[in-house]
Amino acid sequence: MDALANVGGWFAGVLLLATSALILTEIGTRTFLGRSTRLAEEYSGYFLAAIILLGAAYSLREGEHIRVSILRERLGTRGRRWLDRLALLVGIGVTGLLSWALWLLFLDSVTYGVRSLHHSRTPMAIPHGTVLVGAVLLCLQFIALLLASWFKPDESVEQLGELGEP
Amino acid sequence: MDVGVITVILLALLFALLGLGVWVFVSLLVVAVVGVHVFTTAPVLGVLGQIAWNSVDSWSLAALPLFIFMGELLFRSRISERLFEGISPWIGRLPGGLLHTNVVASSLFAAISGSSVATAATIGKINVPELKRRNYSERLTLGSLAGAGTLGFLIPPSIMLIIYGVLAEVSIGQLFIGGIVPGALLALGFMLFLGVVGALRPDLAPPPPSYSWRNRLRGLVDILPVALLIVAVLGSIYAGIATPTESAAIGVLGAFLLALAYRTLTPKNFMEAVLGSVRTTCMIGMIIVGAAVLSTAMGYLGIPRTLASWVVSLDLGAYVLILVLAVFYLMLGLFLDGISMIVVTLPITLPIVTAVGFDPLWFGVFLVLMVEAAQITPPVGLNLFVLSGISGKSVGYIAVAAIPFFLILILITAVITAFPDLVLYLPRLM
Repeated sequence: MDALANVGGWFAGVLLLATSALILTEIGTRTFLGRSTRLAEEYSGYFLAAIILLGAAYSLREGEHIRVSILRERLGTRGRRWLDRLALLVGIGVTGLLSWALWLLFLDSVTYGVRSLHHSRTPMAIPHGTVLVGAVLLCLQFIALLLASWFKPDESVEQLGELGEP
Repeated sequence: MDVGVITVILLALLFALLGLGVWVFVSLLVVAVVGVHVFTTAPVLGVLGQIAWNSVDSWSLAALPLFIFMGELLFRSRISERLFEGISPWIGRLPGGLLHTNVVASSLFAAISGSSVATAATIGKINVPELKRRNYSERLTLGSLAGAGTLGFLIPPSIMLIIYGVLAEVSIGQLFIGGIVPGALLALGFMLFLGVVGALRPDLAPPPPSYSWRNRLRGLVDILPVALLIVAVLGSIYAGIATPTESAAIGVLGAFLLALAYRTLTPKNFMEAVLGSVRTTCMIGMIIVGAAVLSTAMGYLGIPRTLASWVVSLDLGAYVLILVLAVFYLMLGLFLDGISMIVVTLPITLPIVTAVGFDPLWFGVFLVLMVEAAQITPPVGLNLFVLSGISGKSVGYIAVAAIPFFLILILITAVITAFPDLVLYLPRLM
């Protein structure tokens, strides 16, 4: 799972560089050639969506997603563990739902062959599929953290990000 | 069921989840799903999928990762040394001495970075040791850094204003321009305070040796690259040449070239900057997904409309309402971080505030000032954590040191409430 999350993080990083390059190209061609690539606005949106979802599992593992830690700080190790497990269960549930919802969205785009309204007429199944993969990765990462909290409780307790440790 | 009862149930659920330490984006999604599924007949999965996708498939929001990336690149360059050396000869002889470098360097860095935490961290890592070496009062140093660091969110570009603009559907370019005057006022307020303290107690801020014009000119050379970057990023937005997202891409290029020129860009540094930006973007992006779904859910339930008409019927008067909101936000800011504060409350407070006649543009700047106050109040104040990490002093010590700057911030909030044109005048000229 760690490897999968890393791959997601790397993909997101590459997409971040791609977004910068795409927009700079657009500015360049518009200023110097007087032409638009007609892609920058549309694809920046797809890339952004992909960065956020594909990198979400990696960010979760790195403890980047914020949570309020006031109660957690006042508990002992045992209490913390149970609180974490509860939070992880809720996380699994809701990202599971999110994955399911994005699966339906993806299925719609595939079944009806939905294409974007922009110039490129991109089949929407591709960007929708990317965010689906990201949501599933995130759900799997939540499950992996819950398993770790059960079987390797000593290592995982400090790993679950807290607000205030930037 | 009555809308009021539903609102109370959902809010209770939200705060219970947040209080239990469930991740912020997870909590938002849970409340939204429960709200739609239990209290309406809308298909919850359809809403969830479509709104989640729409909230992140956004051209304006693409400015967010780019400005974050730009800040990450600059944080890893030697820009903070250059700013300190460049600014000192110009303001070192004022009463308060080099303490002013905290405010001026933070303001300049804020104009190329969108984050308060990044500003406090970047400027603090050089200024704290430099000022300590020169026997400046540590309390004043840390307090002014905590205060001036908050300029990162107000002086454009600003991550907070991008998030507000996307959620409130206000022009991000106009919000950026609207933040300039309040940001400058705040910086002046901080400097005035430091000047008065420095004049009354010179021992707290020993004046540096005098500088020659040669030093000053060399200082200008140090500041020049930053100044050019500010002009490229803000100037292109203000002149209408580029959208905020495009100017962010220009900023990334500029920051990249600057880091190359300072010879601080190693492959390892660069990768860390990329991955660091990915993590921050994902953290904020997932919260935006949650906030967008929650806001749609509340709309289905009619909560904003009902609450807005209820508050209007109370007939509190605009200023009383803003005062109540300010107190509410300051309380909330004790426990929540800035982004969560904005996204959790916005679906409810924005309709109320616009219903009594405030401009959404003005409210964005007001909210950012409230967020900034939250950044420097314990127990949850990110600027305090950062400076505590740099200086080794406790969070409590820095919080006390930051009190005068907190009060100045509140004062400026009162000023822009009394004179909203301070925010609205420049954007109108665009």
